[in-house]
Amino acid sequence: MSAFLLQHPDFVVFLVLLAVGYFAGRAAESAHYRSIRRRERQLAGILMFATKFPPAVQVRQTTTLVSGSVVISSDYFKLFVASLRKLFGGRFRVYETLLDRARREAVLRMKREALRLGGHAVFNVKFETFNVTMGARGGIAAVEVLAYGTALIEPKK
Amino acid sequence: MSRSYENPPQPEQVETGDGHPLLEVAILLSGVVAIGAVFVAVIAFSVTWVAPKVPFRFERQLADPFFEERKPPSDKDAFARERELRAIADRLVAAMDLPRDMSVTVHYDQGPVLNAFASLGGHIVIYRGLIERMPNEDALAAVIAHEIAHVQHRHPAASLGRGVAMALVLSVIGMSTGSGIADRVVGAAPNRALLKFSRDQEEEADAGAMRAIARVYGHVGGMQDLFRVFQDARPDAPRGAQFLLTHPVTAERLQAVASSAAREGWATDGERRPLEGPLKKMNHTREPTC
Repeated sequence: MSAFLLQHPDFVVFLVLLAVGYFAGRAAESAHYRSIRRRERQLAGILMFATKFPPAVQVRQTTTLVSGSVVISSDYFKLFVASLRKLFGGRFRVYETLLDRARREAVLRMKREALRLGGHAVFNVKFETFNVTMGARGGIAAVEVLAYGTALIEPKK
Repeated sequence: MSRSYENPPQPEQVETGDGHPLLEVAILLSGVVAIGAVFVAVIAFSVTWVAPKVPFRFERQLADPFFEERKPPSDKDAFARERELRAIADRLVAAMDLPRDMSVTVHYDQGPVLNAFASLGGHIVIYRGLIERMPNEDALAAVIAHEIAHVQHRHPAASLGRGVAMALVLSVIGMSTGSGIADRVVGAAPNRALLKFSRDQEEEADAGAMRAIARVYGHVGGMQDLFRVFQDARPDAPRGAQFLLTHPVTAERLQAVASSAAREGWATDGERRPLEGPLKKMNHTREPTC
């Protein structure tokens, strides 16, 4: 085995990249999830609705557009698993977590924007997503998620 | 706004998916390796079957232009050496029952490497570095006979066919995965399988060479002398790593000579013919420096 590795230095590089991708990617992902859950609790007070119009309210409110966007890159390990997955089909689990993180982070940034403007709810929330792939073949797969909606702001008394 | 609205926390379905990612990789990889192995087995089998059925003149049409471009030996000595090598080859060919339409052309190369190879169209190249290390004509004839046996069994054509087919399969897999990463791993599996086929070819060529040497020289001592030269030149040859080598391990080849000789009733020892004429002049046996 060691003789084989000595004869194929490019394979060693590949294994190192894979290991770095796996450990660094997992560490980054679990740290991000911890941060996401903490901030979701903090911003739980800002409500989010998919409906186009808020329910009839007594007080006249102002509205404004708020948005939050994030770009998250996959790692070498995810890329490798995904390239194998393409042959067989099935759940792209490594990308599911990637997109889940991106959506939730985008929502958090949108809510933070709403909070900064004095809003207490966001209506008509929508998502846009864009595949940021650098270079065609073998490029790094990164994804952008944009969340936007109409923030409801109660006038100051 | 009424207080009755709330956003309940979303259930965490995505992150806590079942199965460890490394387990997923292991399952996917073994599937890919299995598919690669099946591909290679099918291709190698069909190419090995087809190659000997392609008329030899197609091979010559393909290869002759390349060898015509080679500069003929410039100095007189090299020219004489090539002529001498061809004389040895002619004696061997006469003893090897080659098909009628098959021809063998030996070329002499000034390169210092301890090597020789057979190519398409019956072209065989013998390097100066190899001749210099040969203790006698029997050993040199063993090399030439080994290469002629490759030609006889159409191994260069089979190897070319496999190479082209493999490149095709890898590019298809590469296209379907769309990344350079997976085909590296997928590529490693077929390469290992091909090494096995390549070793089978070497064993076949050894067997053919032994038969020819026994007929022309009366014994197979030349084969043993040849493998001992290889053993001395590569004392650090990995043991137990045979799966990764193109040629069988030298000690095993020596053993194969002994067992074949016992089976066929060939003498394993006998009088050796010294290298003569233009081949002798250059054959200053020296200590291997590597």
